[in-house]
Amino acid sequence: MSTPERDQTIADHVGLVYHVARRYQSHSDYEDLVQAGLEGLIYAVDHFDPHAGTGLSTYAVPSIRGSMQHYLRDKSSSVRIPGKLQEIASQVSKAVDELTQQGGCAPTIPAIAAHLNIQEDDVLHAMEANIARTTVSASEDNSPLANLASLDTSIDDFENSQAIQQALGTLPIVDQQAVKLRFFANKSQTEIAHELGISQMQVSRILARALRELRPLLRDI
Amino acid sequence: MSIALHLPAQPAYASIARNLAATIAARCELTYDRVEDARLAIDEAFNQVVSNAPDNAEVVCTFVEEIGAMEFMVQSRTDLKDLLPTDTFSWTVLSALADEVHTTNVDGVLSVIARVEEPQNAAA
Repeated sequence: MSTPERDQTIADHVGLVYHVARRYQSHSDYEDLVQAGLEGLIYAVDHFDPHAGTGLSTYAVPSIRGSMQHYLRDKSSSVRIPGKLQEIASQVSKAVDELTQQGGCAPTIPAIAAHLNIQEDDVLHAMEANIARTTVSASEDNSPLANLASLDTSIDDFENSQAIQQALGTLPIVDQQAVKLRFFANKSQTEIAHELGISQMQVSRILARALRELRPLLRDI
Repeated sequence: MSIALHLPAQPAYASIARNLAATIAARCELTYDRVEDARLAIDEAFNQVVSNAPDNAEVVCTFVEEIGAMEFMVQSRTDLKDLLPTDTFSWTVLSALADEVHTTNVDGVLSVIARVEEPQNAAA
């Protein structure tokens, strides 16, 4: 799809965002929710497969709703991380990716600490802070779609596969991908990072957050 | 040598077990991936054990460290009459995160035991 076509498609479907946002009309963050919904619409337009047998509107509504719900969840549970720790977390993230590229496998914690000339405890604190963060960065949500069809087949082996699919459906699409790749395809976090085009620390954050959100939904499943 | 951590059987204490697991996994020279797996695995095991524990129970997390591998056991008194079910999403998660995992329920004490190790250790 060319850029003008894409822009036109987004403009043609923007009414869906306002339609979904109607239930939040009295919300003080209405404008931000609409913005989150627009991001969901753009994601849907960029990843829509016209040959999949469903219309764009049908495909886009769950994505729009998911983005809005995710915005509300993030807002209610976001954890403030001190600036210094955020800076270290950012350095650790870069170091993990660089050392993985150099060595062909994920580095140990002492290796990361030595690379950055910091204490091992600082690396561990940065990792915990990374998991405590809940906000999704743009790069996480713009990752390419992995081929999930075969993973859905492995979920089908579960007696309660429908409940699992429904629970996964409440997560942003990239979180669904990460969960399926880690827990059903048994890929390592390094492999998932490579496949989704995101950093390993983002994968860690996504998995921790996804499990936290899925736990109450799948308590008995 | 093993390291033991005693905590109230409440989900809010999982973060303490997570942090200790990560620290010990780092001491075992596990790679970044596996440290994160260990952290998620103990979180999952802790929540499974706690959700089947009676009020006012205590959870004991025991860790055994070696170079390239870490074992942990999460244990508490339980209301459960049988073993933890292993056909659940939670157990699938735990099985994917750990290289070995099993559960016991002996004399009203529920345990989840898991081992996280580097691939070269697993192959040896």
